[in-house]
Amino acid sequence: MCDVVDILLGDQCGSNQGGTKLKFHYANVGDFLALKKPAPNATGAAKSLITEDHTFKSQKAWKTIEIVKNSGGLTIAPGGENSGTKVMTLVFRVPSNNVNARILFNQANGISPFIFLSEDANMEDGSYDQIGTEKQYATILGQKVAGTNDGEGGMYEFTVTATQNDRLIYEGAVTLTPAT
Amino acid sequence: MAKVKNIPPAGDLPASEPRYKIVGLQMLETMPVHYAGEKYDLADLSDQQAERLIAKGYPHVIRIEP
Repeated sequence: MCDVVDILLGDQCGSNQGGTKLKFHYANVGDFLALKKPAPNATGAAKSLITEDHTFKSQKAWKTIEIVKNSGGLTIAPGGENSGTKVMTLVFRVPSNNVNARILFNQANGISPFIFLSEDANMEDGSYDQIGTEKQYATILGQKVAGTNDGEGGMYEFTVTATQNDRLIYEGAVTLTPAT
Repeated sequence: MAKVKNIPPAGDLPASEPRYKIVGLQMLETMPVHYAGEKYDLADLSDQQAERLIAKGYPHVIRIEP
């Protein structure tokens, strides 16, 4: 049976700031040694919560993307009728004079499989939305937005998409040091 | 290559002194990892941080049994 639970606002505390925090992490699916999943016997909210740490193959680790303020947003739209599918879309911008962003821009082909971690601004530190799974991975596309001389600067705007069964929360460690 | 912390120059460690090593990661000058909203540096890990990572089952920090 599915869980049917009370959802109460009376104990809601803290900020409900919109948008995302300004730092994401990502990696290519092929770089992972082990991609963990929620505990098989989990119930309730734990059924969509990953607490074990993802690990990497040799020389690989999570990479970091710092984004422009107010540019980051994760939306989750419903899939087709009667499916419960979650269509994840993460949009963010990085200045187009950033050389490393150009590398990602040139890799953004809508095919290569990635896992992204982002944090909504109203989420507890250390809790990440995991966008993409091993077999329902995320892909990324990019476009260059020109900006204007007396307005906004030039930007790369990236769009990460994934279609998942659940909104997955990752609370494992994010290791930025390459594995041996 | 494992990194061993808290080895005194001489003498025995107190029984309560934790010891641990880093495994499975490249040994660099800085070795950042984020966990529970905090940033740790595995190259300069406090005993308290090491214990916290070990307690959660972090695979790259293991206790050295005396």
